[in-house]
Amino acid sequence: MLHSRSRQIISRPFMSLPYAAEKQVALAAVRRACSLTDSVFNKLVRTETFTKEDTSPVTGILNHLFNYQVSCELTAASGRLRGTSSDQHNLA
Amino acid sequence: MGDYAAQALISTILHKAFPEDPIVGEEDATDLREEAGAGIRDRIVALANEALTAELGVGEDVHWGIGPGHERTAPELLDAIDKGNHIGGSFGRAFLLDFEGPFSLIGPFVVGMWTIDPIDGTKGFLRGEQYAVCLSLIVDAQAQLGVIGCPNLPVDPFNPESKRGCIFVAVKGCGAEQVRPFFP
Repeated sequence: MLHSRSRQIISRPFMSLPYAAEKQVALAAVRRACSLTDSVFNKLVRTETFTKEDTSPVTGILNHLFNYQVSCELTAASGRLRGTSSDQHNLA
Repeated sequence: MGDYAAQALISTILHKAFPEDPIVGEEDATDLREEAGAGIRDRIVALANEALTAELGVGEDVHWGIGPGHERTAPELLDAIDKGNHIGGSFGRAFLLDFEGPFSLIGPFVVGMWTIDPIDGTKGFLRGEQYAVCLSLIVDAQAQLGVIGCPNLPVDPFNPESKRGCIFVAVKGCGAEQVRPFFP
């Protein structure tokens, strides 16, 4: 099977480290993609609304942590409320 | 929209640099090829081309099909998105010989399987919170290289107010590192 010249040109200078050529290309691709998504957010998401199903494990973990934090805060707030109510009762 | 454009961008670069490597992506361009998708398609093409044609940065190579003058047409970018339709599998990379004639053996070279998740954490992205741009190279069901870009992550983990934008890279057997922020 034939390969293109571009693969050879990329691979030669980095042959000393494993996957060095792939690393350089991947870094460039991700860096540019991050700039792109950041641009999309600043230009579009701030002003437009759309929805998409999201089953990502990252989202699941973040939602779990967020819900846990909210739950803790509600519990703490509830305790403070009871304490306040009790104090008011004692004062009365 | 951001995920389509990011996958088009990443897939275009990967295919230019490693044309034999299959790609497993999250998106496909079926809906964008419909007439009803013309509006969003045009915006995706504009976003992808803006990113592809940005000035070359440190360590970047014009041979990867990036930099000024490397605009792609809409069909080319839709095809790039659909290059992510590889079904995957346990044997994602095979050793191949590279030759340009009977007496000019150059290889062996290897072919890798890339995986792209252009926006991992869509809700975080929409909220302006945390999400990641994820790219990996898998060889025979083993991840050999991983790059994660986190545009909203503070560079200094001890200072949430510090500049945002981190990229992490790991190569199996060679450790992991945080590379310089991608925003100048």
